[in-house]
Amino acid sequence: MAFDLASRIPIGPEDVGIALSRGALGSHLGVAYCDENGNPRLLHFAWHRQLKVDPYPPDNPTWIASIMLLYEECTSQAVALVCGMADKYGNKHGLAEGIEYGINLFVGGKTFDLDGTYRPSPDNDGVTCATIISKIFNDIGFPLVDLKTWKPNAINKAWGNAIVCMLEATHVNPAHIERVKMNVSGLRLRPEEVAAAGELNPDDRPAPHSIIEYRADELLRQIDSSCGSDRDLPEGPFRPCIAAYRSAVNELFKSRERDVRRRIRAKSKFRSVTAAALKFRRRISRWQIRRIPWLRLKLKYFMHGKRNRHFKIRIISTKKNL
Amino acid sequence: MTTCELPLAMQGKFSGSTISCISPLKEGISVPINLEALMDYTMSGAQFMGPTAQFGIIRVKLGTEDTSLFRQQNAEGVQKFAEEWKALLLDRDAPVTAKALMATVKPLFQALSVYGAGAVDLSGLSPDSVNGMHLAVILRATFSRKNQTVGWETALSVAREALNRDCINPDRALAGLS
Repeated sequence: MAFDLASRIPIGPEDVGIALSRGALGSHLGVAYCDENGNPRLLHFAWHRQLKVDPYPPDNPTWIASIMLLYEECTSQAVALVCGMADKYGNKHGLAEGIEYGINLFVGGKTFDLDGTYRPSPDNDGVTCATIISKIFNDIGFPLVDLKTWKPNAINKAWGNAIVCMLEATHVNPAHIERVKMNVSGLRLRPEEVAAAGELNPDDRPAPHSIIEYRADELLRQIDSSCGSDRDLPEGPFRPCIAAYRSAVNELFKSRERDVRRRIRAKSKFRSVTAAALKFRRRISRWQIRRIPWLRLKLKYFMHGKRNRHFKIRIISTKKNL
Repeated sequence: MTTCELPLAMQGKFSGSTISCISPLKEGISVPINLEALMDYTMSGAQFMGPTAQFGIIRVKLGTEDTSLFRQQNAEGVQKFAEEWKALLLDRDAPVTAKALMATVKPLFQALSVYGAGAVDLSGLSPDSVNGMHLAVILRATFSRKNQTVGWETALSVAREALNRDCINPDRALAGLS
């Protein structure tokens, strides 16, 4: 089922839904299910030690949702297990056992102890709204994404720095902030990527990054189109962090644009050179090609060059030699 | 790095006595640490790692005698939870809706929280007597701790047989578990 406004996607007693909303630094993710009384609920990791269980659909109209694709035989299992997890960890705001916010992508496997208690290993700094849902589904045998295919990038690094800033702004334990700082690597599982993976056929999961990348970007645009874009900076302690993040991202986009323009210019220059090479080729008769083996070789490259840029450049050097 | 071999809840059971911990920094010397005091000092599992650095690597010494003692002491509690989560598991005709499966999952999670992975014993299940879907959900709940759960692998094949018997596709119902 495609994503639509959460208010238009009802969650039945045997359904698991993926809900996506605008977040402070992009988007935010939750999982929707029905509790044992049949009330639709939304489990989402709002912030450090705030794993929330809220009514679904949320009052906030900025959520879009979709029913997660699972085998028919598995949906009731998934609902029961998500509900059990929500009961165990949800709504423990600020308590010691509340789950910490952290950004390390690959140590999620060591977050929960053998008894299911939240107890991260020393090199693990916690989870995000996206990694906790990925982890929950992974732990019950429904892996959504193949994290080995994720690669670091500069925007995600800026996001990591913004998270550190936000943790500092909310006076989180300094030792925890230090751990998070050490994990700012540019790797990030984005909420919209998990949402895109949830739309896939169960046979196609765990999904590699390349498969869901495009759809994830589409979902981000869909939040803007369905819920209206939000350009204003929110008030509160996160304001400077979000402002710094947005300016860093804008700068990165500008530098990307400059790169693209440079490439386009190089391509147009290349085309004009190629046209000159074609003109040159017409002047050479077959006799010449047969008599000068090295030239023939170069021309052979040139013939390939009609399809391959690399070889097209080589003919230019031949022209110079002549 | 701290490697406590007992779950936190289990360590609490020993809070009255002092548990002997091994410090590799002082090889051959067993440094006594009152875990209860350590727990009071810390706020969460994450911070639990902090003060332990002062002592080096701590490994709670729990031999087979201690484990069996623990099981004896907690047999009643483990049994109580087991009765709850096994109620529908051993009922072939039990409903398999999400709500029914929750009745199996909740006491199972409670047992895991209070007594650790050792509290769930899946050995000795017969394909003729179990409900395949309820066993499947138990297998999923313990999937991340399957190596510590007694009889997990055998229970997987039992679930397969039980699901086949009930004409439910076991490859789909148990997808991701093998």
